[in-house]
Amino acid sequence: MLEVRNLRKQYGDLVAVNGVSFCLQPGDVFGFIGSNGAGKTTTIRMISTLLEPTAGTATLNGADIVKDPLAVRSMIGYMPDFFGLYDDVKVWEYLDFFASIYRVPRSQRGDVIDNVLQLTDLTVKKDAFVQSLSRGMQQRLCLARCLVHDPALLLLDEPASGLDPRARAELKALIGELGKMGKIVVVSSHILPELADFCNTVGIIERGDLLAFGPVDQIVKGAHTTRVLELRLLREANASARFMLDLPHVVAAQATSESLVCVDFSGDYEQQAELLKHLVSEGFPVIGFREQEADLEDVFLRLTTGAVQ
Amino acid sequence: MIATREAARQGFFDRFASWLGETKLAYLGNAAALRDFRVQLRGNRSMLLFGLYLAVMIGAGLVIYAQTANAGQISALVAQNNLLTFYAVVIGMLGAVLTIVTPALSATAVVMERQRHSLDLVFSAPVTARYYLVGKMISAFRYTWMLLILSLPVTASCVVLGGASWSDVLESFGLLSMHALIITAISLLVSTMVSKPVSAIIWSYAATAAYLIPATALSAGAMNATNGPFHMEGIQAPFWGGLSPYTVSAMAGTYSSIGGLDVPNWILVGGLTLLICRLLLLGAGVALASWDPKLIVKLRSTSLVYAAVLAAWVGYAAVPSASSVGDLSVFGGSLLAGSSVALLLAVPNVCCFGKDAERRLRPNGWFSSRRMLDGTPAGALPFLLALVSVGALGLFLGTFLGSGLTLGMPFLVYVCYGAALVSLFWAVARYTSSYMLGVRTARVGVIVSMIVLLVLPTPILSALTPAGIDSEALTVWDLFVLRPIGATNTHRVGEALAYAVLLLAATGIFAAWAEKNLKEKNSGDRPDGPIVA
Ligand SMILES: Nc1ncnc2c1ncn2[C@@H]1O[C@H](COP(=O)(O)OP(=O)(O)O)[C@@H](O)[C@H]1O
Ligand SMILES: [Mg+2]
Repeated sequence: MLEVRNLRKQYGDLVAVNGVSFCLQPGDVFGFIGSNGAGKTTTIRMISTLLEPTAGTATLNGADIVKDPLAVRSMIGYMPDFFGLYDDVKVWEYLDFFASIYRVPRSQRGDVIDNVLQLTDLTVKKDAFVQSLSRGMQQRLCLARCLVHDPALLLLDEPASGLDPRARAELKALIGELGKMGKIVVVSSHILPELADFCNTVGIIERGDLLAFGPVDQIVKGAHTTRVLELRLLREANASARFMLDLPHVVAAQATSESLVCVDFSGDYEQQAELLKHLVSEGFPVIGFREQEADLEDVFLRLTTGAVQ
Repeated sequence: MIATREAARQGFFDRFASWLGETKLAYLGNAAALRDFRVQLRGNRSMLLFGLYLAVMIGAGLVIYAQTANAGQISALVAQNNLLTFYAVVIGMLGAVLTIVTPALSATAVVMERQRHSLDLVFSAPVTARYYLVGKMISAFRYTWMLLILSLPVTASCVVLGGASWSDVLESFGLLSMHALIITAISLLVSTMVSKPVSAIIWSYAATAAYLIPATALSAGAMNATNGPFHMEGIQAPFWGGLSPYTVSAMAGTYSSIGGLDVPNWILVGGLTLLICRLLLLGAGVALASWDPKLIVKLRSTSLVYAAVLAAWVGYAAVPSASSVGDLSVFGGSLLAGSSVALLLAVPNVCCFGKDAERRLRPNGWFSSRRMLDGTPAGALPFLLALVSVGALGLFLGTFLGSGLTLGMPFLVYVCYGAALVSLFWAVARYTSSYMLGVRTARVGVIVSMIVLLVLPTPILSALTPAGIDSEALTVWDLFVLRPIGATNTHRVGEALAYAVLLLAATGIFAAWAEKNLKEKNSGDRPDGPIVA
């Protein structure tokens, strides 16, 4: 279990992270979302014991990051937002180096390396030099490096940045897999859609403040009091919008084009069906009627002001 | 009662066993060294080494040829002499090559990793600064050793021709490795402190020179005191003759007679070197430890112990009968003051603080002996003074144990002078920091003040007067703060005392000034929370 309590980091007068608290259980894949400069990297580096917190602390399975950094380090895999690869080193040598500084016994290292290579789909590159790998492969190698000691917590700082869509999809699948293996995975990103579909917990950080934290659906629900309905008509979109404004539970209605109307609706599903009946009986040629999926993107834009420090 | 004692013993053994395990891991199975080794084999530095080696070989071969070509025309005695000289030249050349190559090979070790951010990866693993530094030390040192091994054909030819024996070669190689070790440690320390590879290389050479110049001067003094640089085999000589890498062959085979025991000088020099390296690496460890307060306490307390042992070692090994150093109290004091000057190099890092820095480097008072070991500004002066004091104590005890002599009043005066020197720059560091412009700016300020006060006067004063700095007469050199250092008789003790008083007065002025600045800057603005729990 990772328990972060009031973690704070101050650089002179600038507060980079302002008392962040959250708690994650094994199996949680935590999406840590915030624009550039929001304080994601700073938070992650503090948890990985590389940076001294100005105040507050965090514990991982009972080990305190300030009081017992070495114990914490042996339980985490930290993947920074840069590669930190060495030149002139082969893939297996690179992994062997990290396996031995993580104190994987010599007799097990060979197997461990084969396993993580297989997990990250790099087996064929075992004897290649790291600088000869593509960006996506290097990224996966970095992830493989974080896995050699079977850590309880993975801290992945912007792992998907700079990857092509295919590599990104593979990475997502891999991260989801790791969550299923019972690890705590923290993934940061400034691009929302990247995280929405495979995280089960999200946190939104802005100027060092954690604005929202919790399971994805809860956060999405919490931020919405009305639902948005999207209507498609053959014609007369404007007229129908005007008509609907007078109906119950309609907060707002606006034609966004010749054939589309967006409705802010505060009623429940029963009343939603009622609304459709009214429209049809009034003779409006409705050809589509659906509820817009509220997504993380919305929540993010609502919560944050978009301001970057 | 017995149970607890048993448990305590068990705990001690457990800790010892785990220490032993860690040590074995650091020295024998060091992954960082192995990784570097693989890279070294592939990089093009090996080519550089081979090139250098070839140049040395060809040069040496030519000399041998020139010598043996007219062998028929000279007497056997002269030929023998030529061979001895030739051997000394070869070993001296090796020493020169080592001092030129080693900084370049070691200086970038840490800073390169920092620049490519792989340092963060290493330290997010359960790696101690010690493990990492030992690994880097091994991999940097391996190169230097390759140089020595590669020169074997030339040195072997000296043995074959009769200029030296194998034991001479072995001893010289041992001493040369020790010198290379010190230079490697110096470069590594620099490498942990700077942020760019280029500055690491430049500062490494500067620091190596700063070490080699006084070391070579000391060594030359020792040589002059005995028979001169050649043919010292089997005679008694002051051990610090071995502090220069250029006269190694002369020192091989000499000994110091301590308490009736003839101790080979290479053992004395070797021990000294290892102690110096340990101290340098402790400094590098603190630079890498960055914020772990427990680790800093551990490293700092260890460094106090090592400083004392180092000083005791020097005191023990300095045998007055062989060294003609004049008054031993003055010589010891002068040595201690000289070491205090070396300590000044740590002042910018130990004493400066600023708002932009890690929490540890925020102002938290000017003197607190409780904070001596935790790396905060309030503990800076106590720590520096403690280093000077344990050094003085070690030297005193070592001298007493080694030769039964007690260092007297002049020594005490010099201790005060050294402490005052360190205090002054501590105060300057506080003063430059008190403007709160940032740690870096403050450090630059201190370094500039050191250059102005300690380095610049040398060329200026030597332009002003024909008298050397070592002349006994009254000259403008007396205006130089470092003038009392290097004395061998009691003439200068009064001067040391005067300077001590003067420096302390200046310290007071700067410290008060800094406090005044800090009060103005800091009214109502306190560092958040306790600095160290
Ligand atoms: N070493 C530092 N010194 C001063 N300010 C810093 C330092 N590192 C980060 N910051 C500041 O802290 C804030 C948070 O940075 P960061 O955690 O890197 O953001 P993110 O990773 O979310 O993009 C930024 O405003 C950044 O400028
Ligand atoms: Mg970042």
